[in-house]
Amino acid sequence: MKIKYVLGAAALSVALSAPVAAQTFNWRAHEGQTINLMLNNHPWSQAMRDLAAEFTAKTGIKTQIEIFNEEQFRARLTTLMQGKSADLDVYMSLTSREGAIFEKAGWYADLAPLIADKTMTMPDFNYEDFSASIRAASTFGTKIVALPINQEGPLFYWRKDIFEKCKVAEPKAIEDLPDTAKALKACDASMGVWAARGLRGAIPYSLTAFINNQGGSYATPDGKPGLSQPNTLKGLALYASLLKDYGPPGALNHTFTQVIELLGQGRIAMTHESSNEFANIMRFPGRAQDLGVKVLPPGRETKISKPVAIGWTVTMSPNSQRKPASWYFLQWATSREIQAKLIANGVAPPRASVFEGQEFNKWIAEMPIRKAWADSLIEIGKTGTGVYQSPTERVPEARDIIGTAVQEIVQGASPADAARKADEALAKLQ
Amino acid sequence: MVSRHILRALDRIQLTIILAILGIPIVWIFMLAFKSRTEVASLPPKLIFTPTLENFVELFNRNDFLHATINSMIVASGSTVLGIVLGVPAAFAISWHRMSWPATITLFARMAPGTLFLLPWLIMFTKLGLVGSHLVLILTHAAITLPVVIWVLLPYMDALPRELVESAQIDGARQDQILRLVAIPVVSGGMVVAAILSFVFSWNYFVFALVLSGIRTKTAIVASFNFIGEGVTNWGALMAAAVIIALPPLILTLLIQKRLVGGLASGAVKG
Amino acid sequence: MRTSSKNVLAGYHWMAAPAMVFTIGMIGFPIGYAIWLSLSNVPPGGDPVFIGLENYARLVKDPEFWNALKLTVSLYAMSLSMQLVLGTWLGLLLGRSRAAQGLTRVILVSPFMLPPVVVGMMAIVILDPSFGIANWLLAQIGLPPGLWLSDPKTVLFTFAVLDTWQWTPFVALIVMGGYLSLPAEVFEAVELDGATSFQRFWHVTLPLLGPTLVTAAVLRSVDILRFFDVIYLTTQGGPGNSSTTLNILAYRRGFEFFDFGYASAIMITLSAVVFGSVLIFSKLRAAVAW
Repeated sequence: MKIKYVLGAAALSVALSAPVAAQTFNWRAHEGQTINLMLNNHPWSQAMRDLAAEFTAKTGIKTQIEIFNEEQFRARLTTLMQGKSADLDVYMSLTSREGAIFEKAGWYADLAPLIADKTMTMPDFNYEDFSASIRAASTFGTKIVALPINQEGPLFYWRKDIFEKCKVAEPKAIEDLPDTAKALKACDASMGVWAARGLRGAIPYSLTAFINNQGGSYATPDGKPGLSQPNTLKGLALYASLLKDYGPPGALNHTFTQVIELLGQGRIAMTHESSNEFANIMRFPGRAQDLGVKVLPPGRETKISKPVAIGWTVTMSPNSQRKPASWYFLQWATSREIQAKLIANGVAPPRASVFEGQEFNKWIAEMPIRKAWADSLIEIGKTGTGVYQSPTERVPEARDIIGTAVQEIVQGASPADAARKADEALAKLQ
Repeated sequence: MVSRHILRALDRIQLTIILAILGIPIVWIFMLAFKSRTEVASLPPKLIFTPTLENFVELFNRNDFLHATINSMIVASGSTVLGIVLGVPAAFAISWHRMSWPATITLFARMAPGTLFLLPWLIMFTKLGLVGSHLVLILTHAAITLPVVIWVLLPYMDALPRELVESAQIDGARQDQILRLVAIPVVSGGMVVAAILSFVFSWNYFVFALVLSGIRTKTAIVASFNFIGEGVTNWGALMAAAVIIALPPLILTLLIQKRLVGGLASGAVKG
Repeated sequence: MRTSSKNVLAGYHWMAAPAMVFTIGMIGFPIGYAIWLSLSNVPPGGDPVFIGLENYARLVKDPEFWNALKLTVSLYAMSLSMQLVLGTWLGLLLGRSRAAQGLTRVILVSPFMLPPVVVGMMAIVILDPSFGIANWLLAQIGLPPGLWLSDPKTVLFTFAVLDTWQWTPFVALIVMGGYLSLPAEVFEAVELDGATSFQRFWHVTLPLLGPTLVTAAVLRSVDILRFFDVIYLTTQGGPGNSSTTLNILAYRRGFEFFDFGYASAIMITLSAVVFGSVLIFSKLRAAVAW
């Protein structure tokens, strides 16, 4: 009897609220629907899986979430999109990487009309709370293709205790790194000194600051591939020589998984790895006490500091049959309230109000290294770039070519030769 | 005669080395699954450690791996049954009439790379409204296990004495009765081998389910490799997943190793 | 004797029909569609546009394709020859010592029953030069570390070793079966001639095992030429392009770089290579029959 009564009341309230919903925003307007989400394995996704129940409680919309590692995520997404599947509603996208291709392919729904529609979007959503550069990465003309869910970029992690023990100074300029590495190696030959990404497609992410900070660029001033420019060559050579002379064996198959394992186990003294790994590294015993983190040092003469700074986004498929309900999820997941909750999972919030808010500052104050991490993120949010390949729409291929050049240098090719070959291949993508 | 003893001892030594090379990596993976998340990849390896179940808790509590395992069971069993139902009569007919082209046609599914089928099948089964169902996985997996069933059964069918069938025909038995009452009892040993191999191949198969499964039907193989990710890599859970997906094939191996070895040994000779 | 059935009514052809209908229904469309895609330009998100043989013309001029073909063939040659040689050796060892019993038999069967995904995971945790157990063990006995899958010079060979680890017992069991079925009189006759054990192996056992070995070779060829899962999980074709086989190249072109037309042309070519190898072996089978 009781259940019947509740159901009846619910039906009644839905019936009554329907005409009202036409003028004002109502969280429960799409009650009873179920949306399908496909997410890349990421701290944000793991947190979403735990928080989804709150979304259902608030809106009455059920969620089915599947999480894949990045390779499989991309294979499945590409096939579902190419096959125009209507089963997928919401998915994650790295717009700085695949945005241009996806937009051209028509794989993003336009969110701009939804944001502008007062009946569809919560009153305090405040899209402008995301910084202009973050918004720009997901905007094509007037079309908004995705909402930002985090900020990330590679940071310089180093073992303060080892530096202290060996009486080696923290590097102040990027050109200091080889000497720093040499001194550390001389101090304790059994200790690993350096590790960084060596897997082809993964290299440009951590390589970019090495090039930019020394005054180089992936592009020539007139927009052609420019790996052969002198300053760019310096960056390529520096990154490759650190890997070659001080990197771990097997570095050419390494990406974050291996690099972080080495750092976490305390087997290397420094690395340049993703800010996302922060919470993961803190899990290893001792690292919260002995690790330092900051933005990779700038060029000595150039004073330039321009690392990669990107953000994952969440978006919806144009083939979705449940667009309004999907949009409800998107705005809920990127709302101030939810982003504040994600901080504890090591997800750096893209909203300025969260970054400056109380919850974030309280969390930071608990440990000095958290403060250093947050400060670094704020810095790269201002100085960073989302472009880390020569100009092209075929971004994934371009990054592979750049990574291949670095691998060749590590294996003994001259930087000039490797860069020339890469420039030729890159020119074909333009 | 002394030399014969020495030779025999040499054989034993060679065999022991081979078995160690084959067995130790598998044992090693099983050990890693019981180490804590941060100990899995640490060196030097701890041979003596306190085993923990934390990885399996992560696997089954937070990740619903049980559901994926059940899905794999459904898909592997379903495609095996389908493969046997289609394959046994086909193998009988092919063997009886010495037709080689039908057997060759089924092999085409195993000659093309699995990724070739992904996009066409997605389009085809989307039209049929089957994407995300168990049925679509059963059908697609059966397409690659059916040739296994047929080819494993062929030598057994070839060994079936023709006189048995012919005398049943003279007695006026219907064709389906001949298959059920004459052929199948004789080749039942081969059917067990075919069924087990087909189950294992379906269980182990990776790429079809990656695209054609839905959230509720994801198989254990597809779910197993998702413990790697920027900021969320979990070696422990990965090793636990490896153990869980390796167990059913290994248990089946244990149950049918005698028949399987016999089947392989005799099958290839006659085939 | 076989022909005697002819005069008795016996049309069992229909029993093969369900399996044929099923197979053609399942794989006819995909193969046809893939061929059509291989003759089309397929923009991401767009519909295929027929362009004739352009993708294949591009293939012939693409150094990456030739490199991938070369890698596919070398991986194939290394894997298959190691498996046949080691498989024959192990198969004869098992045959003469009658050792394939109990636990031995279980250990022999286990590797090739394992999911390829698990073999990939094993490669990741055991062979990683920085924290895998393999190099640590080598160091304990004073050997230099190997780079395994991380060095372009050794990566392909390492994959061949992995596949050989998994499938040699399979070949061995087939060879054992062939050996045990050989007529005993043959060996007795040679023994009386006073042949050495090597002569006996080379001139008698091996030729007699010919058909068995060809069968094993066909079964392995089809799989080795399409070797995919383990590369996909470990190196993704690297370092550089040093393990980008045809199958991996097609995957990357299609699913990572969104060029389904070109990817389909590579997949169709690979299917043709596999088909060709099966044809060659079936001719060979007729040649070595005794």
